[in-house]
Amino acid sequence: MIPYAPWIVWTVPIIIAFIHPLLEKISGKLRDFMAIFAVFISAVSAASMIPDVIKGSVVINGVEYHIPYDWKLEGWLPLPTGSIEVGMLIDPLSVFMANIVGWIGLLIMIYSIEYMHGDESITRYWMLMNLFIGFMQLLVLADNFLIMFFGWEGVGFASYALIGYYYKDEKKYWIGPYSPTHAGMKAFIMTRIGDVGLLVSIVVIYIYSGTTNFLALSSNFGWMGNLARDGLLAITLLLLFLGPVGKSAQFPLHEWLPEAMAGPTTVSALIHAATMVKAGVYLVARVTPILYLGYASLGELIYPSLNTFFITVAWIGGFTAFLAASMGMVSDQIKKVLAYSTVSQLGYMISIIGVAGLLIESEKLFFEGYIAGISHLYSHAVFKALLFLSAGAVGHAIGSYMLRDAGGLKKYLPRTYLVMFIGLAALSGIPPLNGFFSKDGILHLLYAEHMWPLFILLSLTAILTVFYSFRLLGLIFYGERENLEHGHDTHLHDPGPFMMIPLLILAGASVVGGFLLPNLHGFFEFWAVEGLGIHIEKITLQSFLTSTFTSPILLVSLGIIIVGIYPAYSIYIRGALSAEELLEKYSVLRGIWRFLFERWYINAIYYKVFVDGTRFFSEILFKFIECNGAGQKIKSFYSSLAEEFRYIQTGYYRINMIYVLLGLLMIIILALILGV
Amino acid sequence: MIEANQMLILTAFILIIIGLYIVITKRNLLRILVGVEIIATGVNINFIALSLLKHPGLLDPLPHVLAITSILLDGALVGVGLAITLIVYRKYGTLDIDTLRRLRW
Repeated sequence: MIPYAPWIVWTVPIIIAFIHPLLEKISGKLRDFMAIFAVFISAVSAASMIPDVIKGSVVINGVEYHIPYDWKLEGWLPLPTGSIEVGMLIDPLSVFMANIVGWIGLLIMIYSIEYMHGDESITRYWMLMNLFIGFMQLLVLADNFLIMFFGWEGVGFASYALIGYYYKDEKKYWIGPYSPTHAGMKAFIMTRIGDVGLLVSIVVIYIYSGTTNFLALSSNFGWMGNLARDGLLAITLLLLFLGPVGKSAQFPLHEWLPEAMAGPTTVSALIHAATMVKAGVYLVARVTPILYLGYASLGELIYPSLNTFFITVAWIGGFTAFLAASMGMVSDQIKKVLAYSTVSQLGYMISIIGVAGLLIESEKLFFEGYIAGISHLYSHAVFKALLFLSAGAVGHAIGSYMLRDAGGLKKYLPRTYLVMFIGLAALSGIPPLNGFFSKDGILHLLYAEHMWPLFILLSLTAILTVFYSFRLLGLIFYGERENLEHGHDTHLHDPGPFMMIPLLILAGASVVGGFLLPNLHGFFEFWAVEGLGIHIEKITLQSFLTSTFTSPILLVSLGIIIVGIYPAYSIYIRGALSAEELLEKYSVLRGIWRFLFERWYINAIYYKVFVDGTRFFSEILFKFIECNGAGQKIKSFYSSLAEEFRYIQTGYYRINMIYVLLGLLMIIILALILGV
Repeated sequence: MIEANQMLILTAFILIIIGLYIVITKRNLLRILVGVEIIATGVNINFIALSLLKHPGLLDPLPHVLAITSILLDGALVGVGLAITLIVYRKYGTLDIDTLRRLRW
């Protein structure tokens, strides 16, 4: 490990973020370099912790400590009721997340050099991107809820600022009916609803346990038992889950993510692949082992509450996966399709971690489900970064993200086509790409444990995923290129090396990523044995591949792919059927299309109830209280008061000063009389 | 023999008196601002000096914290004060406090 690695990981990006305005004055090149260098340092420090985690011990200042190790800053802010601590936790989950954030972030930053080239407020961009990555690293490495919450809010702020990055955008570039500023605020407010729940539950846990430290919470379970006895455990956990629901855009707070596409594509890539939305999954993954350990020691006392919690988690995840995938099928905008697919894939992760919690009675199955969620997080980070960045390359070439402006790009952008194809194939789970293995792991567990409702729901979702992936591919790259008379098409070309190299790296990672999953399993093994007391078998690449390719679930996976690809292929790639004609012909399809395109009317309802409701309320207040009622009274009261007292104001400065002196004198006399 | 805290209190008192004198007698807005700053310095020293009465040896962190906060706020205050002075000068072309009496009734 690099000395002080867990601290360097998050401090360097944050510090560099704040000196960008200074660096800009020296040279623009230096600023760009430092922005990327900061993330590079962060990523390297994160990577340097990997060997320690595999070894199971870490050496700090010549002393060897066991993993998980909590590196505390002693006596940072002692308070009578227990001090607020700052510390970094080194355990497999945090190191794994730090590496995802660092390396994916680094590739996105390198890509940004070319993508954001010539933008007028690029300093702000680098600054916020570095802040974003720094806060996310703080979030994943924090050793207690409070510091994690600090990073959590920092990420929320950075995402708000970056989504609204193009605040000057003209209406014709807007994505959907809202301006980028509006989209940023929507994201901020919607995630805030979840954060309130999270904060409340942190406070409740603190009241019951006297600590917010993850390791302390998972070594002494009195708080869990007391909460369960007071009947509050389920509610506390559900409030805690509200945080991830907001952050990871799960139903019913999923509506902010599609609008978040208003930011630069690189920002979308960062939000979707590495930071922000992964924070929610991270929190669920962080809390689940604590609950597992609590169950192991308290057993039946807390089981009903845990069951409620995990059923909610599993079903919210599963339902969101289906909901978002169905919306993704009809979206008219490249980035929105990808946004819906992110929501959907996050649903998979959250759902499977919930399922792992439902299987809490069997330690082996619990661990399997947990790892399945983590594996999918890892696969998704790689292929979603790839997809967004290649969508950025397409948008860079055609100057628009609307699907109607795309089409027939295959011969103009051959390399972009290749990487995007790999990304979409990974998303749809085509073997041997990484998405196949991780999705297979999820379906396998559901199948083996006979959780049929969720299994069917998630398989259906997988079919929809394949369909919209290939619909997107067909609409962008196949068909005839129209509007040639615009003369834009002479500019159509693959992006330059700064954009292409990250794309190729990510594409390579998508191809080989699936074969690294046994290593990921091994990465968590030591911790599972030492920390959770779970005895698991080691998985080698060979046994992993054998079990994947001999299980009956392989047939299901292949069936999903075929069922999903066939209509997408015949409509959008071969062009044998026309989507418009089908919609004309069957009114049922038209109805479904409308329903999905309006996002199940959820967005409309939210706007009707909350936005219009607030406006209505504020209008009433304005009309009856501010203009005519109490507001007017208060105003007239103060102006009449001012009328009386204005005679004191002579305008002569010295007279005022004499009042001051008199006041001082009175204080001194009083002090002498009272003898203080 | 004067003890350290008495010395400090005396210094603070002298500073406050100097500041008050400036504030009362000067007519130039900038000089008055300087006077206010001198008073603020005196008050800060007073914080530390009075803390010695209770805990000898500068052990109590609270007055230090207050003094540092106060120094910080002073910085902000000077910024605002200078900004107001600048705007006043631009608008009225003078800093003489006796000609600037538009706030009278």
